[in-house]
Amino acid sequence: MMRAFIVKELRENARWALLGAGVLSAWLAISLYSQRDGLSLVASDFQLAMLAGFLISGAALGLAQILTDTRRGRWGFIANRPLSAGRIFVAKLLAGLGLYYAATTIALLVITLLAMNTRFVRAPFSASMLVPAIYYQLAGVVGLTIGLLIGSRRAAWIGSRVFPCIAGVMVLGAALYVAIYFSEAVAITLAGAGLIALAAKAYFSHNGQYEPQRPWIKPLQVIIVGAGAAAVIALAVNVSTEVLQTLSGAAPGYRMDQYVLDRNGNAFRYRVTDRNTMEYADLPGNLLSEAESERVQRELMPLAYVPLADPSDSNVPRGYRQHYGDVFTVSDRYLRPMIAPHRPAVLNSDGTAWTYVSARRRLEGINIDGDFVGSIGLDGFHPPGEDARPITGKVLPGWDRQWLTTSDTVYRFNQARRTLETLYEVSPPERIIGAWQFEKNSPPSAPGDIGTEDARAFSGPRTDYLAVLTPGKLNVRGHDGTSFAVDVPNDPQIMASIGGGVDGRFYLKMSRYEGSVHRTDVRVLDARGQLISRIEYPPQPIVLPPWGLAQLPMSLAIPPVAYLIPRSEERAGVMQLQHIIAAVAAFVTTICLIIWVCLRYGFERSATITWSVLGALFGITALLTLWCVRLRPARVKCPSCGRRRVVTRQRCEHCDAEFPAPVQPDIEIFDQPLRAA
Amino acid sequence: MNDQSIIQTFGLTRYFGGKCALDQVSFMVPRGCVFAMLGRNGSGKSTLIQMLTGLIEPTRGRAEIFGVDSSKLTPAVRGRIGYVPEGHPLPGFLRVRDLHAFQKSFYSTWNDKLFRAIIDHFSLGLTQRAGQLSRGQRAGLALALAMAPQPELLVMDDPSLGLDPVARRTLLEAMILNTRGSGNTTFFTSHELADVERVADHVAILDRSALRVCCSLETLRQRVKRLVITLNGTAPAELPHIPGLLQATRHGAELSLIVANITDDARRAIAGLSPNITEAPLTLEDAAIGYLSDRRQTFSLLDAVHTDAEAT
Repeated sequence: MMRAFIVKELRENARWALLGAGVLSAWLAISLYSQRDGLSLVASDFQLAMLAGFLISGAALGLAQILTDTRRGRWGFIANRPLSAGRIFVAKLLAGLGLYYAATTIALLVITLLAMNTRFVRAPFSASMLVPAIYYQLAGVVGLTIGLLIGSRRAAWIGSRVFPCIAGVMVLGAALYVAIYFSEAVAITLAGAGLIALAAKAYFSHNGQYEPQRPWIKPLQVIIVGAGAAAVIALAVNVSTEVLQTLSGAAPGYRMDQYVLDRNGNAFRYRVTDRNTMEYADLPGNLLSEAESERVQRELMPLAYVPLADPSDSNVPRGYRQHYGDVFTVSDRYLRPMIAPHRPAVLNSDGTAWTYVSARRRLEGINIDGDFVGSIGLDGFHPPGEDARPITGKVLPGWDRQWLTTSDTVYRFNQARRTLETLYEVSPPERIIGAWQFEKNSPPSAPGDIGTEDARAFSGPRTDYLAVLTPGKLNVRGHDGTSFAVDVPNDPQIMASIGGGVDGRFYLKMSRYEGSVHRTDVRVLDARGQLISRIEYPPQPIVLPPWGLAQLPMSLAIPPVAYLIPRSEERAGVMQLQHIIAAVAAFVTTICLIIWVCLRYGFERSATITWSVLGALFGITALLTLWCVRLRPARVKCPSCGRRRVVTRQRCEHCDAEFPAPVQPDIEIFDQPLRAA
Repeated sequence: MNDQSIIQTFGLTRYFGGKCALDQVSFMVPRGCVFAMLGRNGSGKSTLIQMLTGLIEPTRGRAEIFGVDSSKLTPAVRGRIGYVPEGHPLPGFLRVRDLHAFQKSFYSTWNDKLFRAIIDHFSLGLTQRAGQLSRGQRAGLALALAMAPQPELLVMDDPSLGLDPVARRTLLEAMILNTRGSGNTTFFTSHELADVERVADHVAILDRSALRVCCSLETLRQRVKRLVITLNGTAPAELPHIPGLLQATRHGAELSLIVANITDDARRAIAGLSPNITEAPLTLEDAAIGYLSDRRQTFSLLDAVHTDAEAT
């Protein structure tokens, strides 16, 4: 029976899928064509376009599937058959998945053909470049389930229908920014889509047949809608805060302070304000003039950020591991482990692009037409048909430039000679944790071995020095003969960076949070690594200015549960008395409103208590969610007591009277057996 | 469930916002009958059917079909119900043969012969798309799809809406075919009172969301009477209170009253108007209109128009 329904769904919605395939293909083709950096399918802008395209396609298809069948009258034809609404939904979901994958695969084929055509896209093409596209295609399934949910849900008021979109955003956010491993991202996406589909199924079943639902379905639905409510409140708080800040003319607060060095080694205080502006100040804290700020910004010392801890160390917290980007992450690097090896390492002037292929442990090159030109291993270049000597040691992820780092060697890829040159190597048991490059603290000289403009933009800054981290030591090597090692702590809490090179001086800056202060010290080293001086800058207190008028919306909207999370006063900022009063007033008002709404809706006592507890924890988010998830019952005047009573209750909540029967005994005619009790 | 009843409702009530669409409706539909639900537009007929078939939720009260709460109908129970929604909505993109194959796959009791007979009667081609059919043809297809599974209960919401006389006649024949001899039950709403009189054996009347009548046609005929009074002299400015008065219409010196459940009090009040009283034959249409029209109305519209014209 489900098969018949699937066939019906496929037949009925195939035209929408075909239309979607056409629109999506056009959208992706335009996005691909407009890529400036020539990265083809792996360009970050194009990946964003893919994500948006797949999500919208999925959501539109899901909505179309539901809305065509739930229109007035048509639903009667659909629902009244010996098949439960739940199974009808499953049939729709399966058919939707089939149609979605058919339509999006057509679009993917179209852009793949375009990406293979070098007249359309300049960059070379590799089939592996499709891996992120395949993930984003999967992400579109979340859109499909969201579409099914939005179509199935009866919204209490206009606008709240789209609230579940935020649940989809949360699922993808978790997949792209929380998951570290690719498999985690896929698992999170599938689990999220599954949960949304379950909530949608329950809504769909409730539209017609009232199948018993599992007890956790209702809370799941509340969470999905509540996420949207929270997003709306957060948006309202942000907008109103901005408006109040502008109107009050209050001085901006700040989010972060740090010390920066100019090319002469002079330190300045750099601050990002809570209005996303930047301020430079001298050490006593006097703001620099605009011209002086521009000069400092222009002449900042180029520093290489050096994560000091070994990300493979199990003691390093997960967040730090992701922050390093040196493990398989799907976050801001867009499925980096899958893509990075396939990014053109360097596009050379001869039109070749080189990439490390992990399966064969060597670099492989393709020309602009995508033809294989040869491989490079430890024994140099080999034309097609010959095998290069494989690279030994564990290749550390994160290689996407002209550097290749293994656990024992740092190689530089010399494109002119097509060889791998050893820059740094260690002997076991010593091992390399990571390698970073930085340019000399001087005006840039002529470009190195970078061929094309694109490649130069892509390959990053000029490299004069190499910083290699081994356990407990930071080793620096340079083209100018510099070679030294400095002891460094293995502490992921420390933000370290290194730069310099002018006059044989190097600067190792280390910053860390200590309680409520942020401490920074800079070690000035000579070309042999000897300490010349150590400057400890004044600790910067992490004190946000007291809340002003602009924070009033925040104090009203902040969920009470947030106060239960331990947080230092310095980090949270100081609430003034009026904000505390406003927060308490908002809390009390919210609870009263929730109880009033529960009474007005004629809730049972248990539901009133549950919603009151939610109100006590989540504040106005709970109130808004309540309004969104529960349909408001009508109220009419009670013929007995004259007060307004809900129509859903048998007895008046005020006077306990029943609704009077609409009896007119004079004219009524009932055959006795026919009149039900 | 009563063994003899297919449908039972208990104080079934439905509000749309603050408007009461159906007010505490309680009735039973016996097995094997053709049951007609009458009422004016907006009286709650379609709402009642949607609640019976579990498509919308009652605000209060409940309904049972085959002894199962209509809000919890299992697929097995649904398989025993044929439903023709108002306006005969069907997936317009599908062809007749697709719909046939689709519907057939759900029912083991599917009667292909019956399906073919109905669609032939409505001159339907198997390759026609549902969206391109005329209103009558669509009604025929909806009827064929609902009847071919040979349901124990056929529920139809105003099935004759917009049909020509021939199509209406075919529909009536189909209803009779579904019920007679098989013990199946047909529950339908209609505005075509002549049709109802022809096929229904039980009738219910919804008046402003409340159920006023639920009985056999025979009982209705016995309990509702038309009395024609020849007035002597001028007509009274206002009628006295007559218990059970449904409608009063004056044509010149003749006053026609439709009265339900005539009691001695009613007879005395009528006799006070004039001693010249005769009982006239009453059709179902007259009786139903008596219930459905505004009971305060004393003169027919035509009469009022004539009176105004004479005055000017």
